[in-house]
Amino acid sequence: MNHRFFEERLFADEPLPPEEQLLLEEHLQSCDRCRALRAAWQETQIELRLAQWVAPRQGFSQRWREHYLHRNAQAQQRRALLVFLINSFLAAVFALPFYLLVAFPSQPLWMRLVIALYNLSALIPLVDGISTFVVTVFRALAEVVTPAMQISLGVAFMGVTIIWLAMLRKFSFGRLGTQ
Amino acid sequence: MKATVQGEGSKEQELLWIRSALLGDSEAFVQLIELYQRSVYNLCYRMLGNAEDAEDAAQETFLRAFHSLRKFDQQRSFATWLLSIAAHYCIDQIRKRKMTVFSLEDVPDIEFAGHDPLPETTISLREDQQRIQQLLKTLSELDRATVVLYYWYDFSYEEIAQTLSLTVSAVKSRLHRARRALAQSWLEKYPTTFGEVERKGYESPVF
Ligand SMILES: [Zn+2]
Repeated sequence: MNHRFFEERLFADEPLPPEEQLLLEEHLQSCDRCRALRAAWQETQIELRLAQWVAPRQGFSQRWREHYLHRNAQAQQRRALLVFLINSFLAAVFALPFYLLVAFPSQPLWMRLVIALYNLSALIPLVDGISTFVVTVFRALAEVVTPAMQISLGVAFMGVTIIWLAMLRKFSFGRLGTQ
Repeated sequence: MKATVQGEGSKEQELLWIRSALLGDSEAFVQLIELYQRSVYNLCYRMLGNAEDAEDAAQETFLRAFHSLRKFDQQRSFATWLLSIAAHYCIDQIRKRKMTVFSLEDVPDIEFAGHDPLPETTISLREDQQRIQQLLKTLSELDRATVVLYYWYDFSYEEIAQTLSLTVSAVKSRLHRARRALAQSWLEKYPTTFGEVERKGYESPVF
């Protein structure tokens, strides 16, 4: 039997069959290396069995409470930002067709889009421009929008409001999400 | 011998706390933390080798457990589930550390923070802890977890397999390999224990 065979047996979890045990003992008589390994393993086992449990510092659960509240607050902030961004996007999607229709009633659709994008880029550096834009839109709306359009506008607005409320409930007041 | 996983014996109370925690009651969960903090902390400590990392890992384990409590199967053992989260987290941490640090050898050894001594550490115990920690450090993260669960927690092969998402035969072979590695490391670290003859024998392997 080779040396490897016995080395395997040294670390077996279950007791060896008697004949293998006998062979192992015989091998140990003649093999320094296996003897040293066995002694080392016995020492290690003693060390493992003596090893204590290590306890955390006092106040572990109080520290957990603090972590939990801190994480919760962070998650709340992230969700609030997410809700704000999604709603801003929805509002923009909702406003764009009306803006195009009202601002450039005589142009074809693609032309309106190009003009709108151009105007929008000009608006970005001008804080003032945003309010001008809003005022213009509302003034134009009042002139152009037909009663039928006003109703559809109202319905669309209500729809967005419902989505917004549902999202606010789901994301802002729900349990802390996975992190 | 050693204490088994803390908190056994109050299964009904435990289940009540789990159900309250499932409804969002974090204070009920704090009761569970009180019950299992030692088990979780000890595992993290044995895996990561220092008090500071162990504290962070144990805290993170309980945060994760609270957030994913819905995934816990109430037919199973809560302790095993918690230790599974802790073990996986520690294994990930060690792997990340390996990627940023060149080798585990560069990571500082156990620190028993001077201003915050561990409750039951005495001077002689510290030496033992250091010795066993040095040995554990030589194992791979999965082998280390296997050894810790086997020797500290008296887990069966099946429980270890469940905790570490391994097969039972993988657990057996990992344990076997780990035992041999631990003995080898012991020989390398403390060769004088076994005298000159053994050392010579060891230094000329017959593979
Ligand atoms: Zn041999």
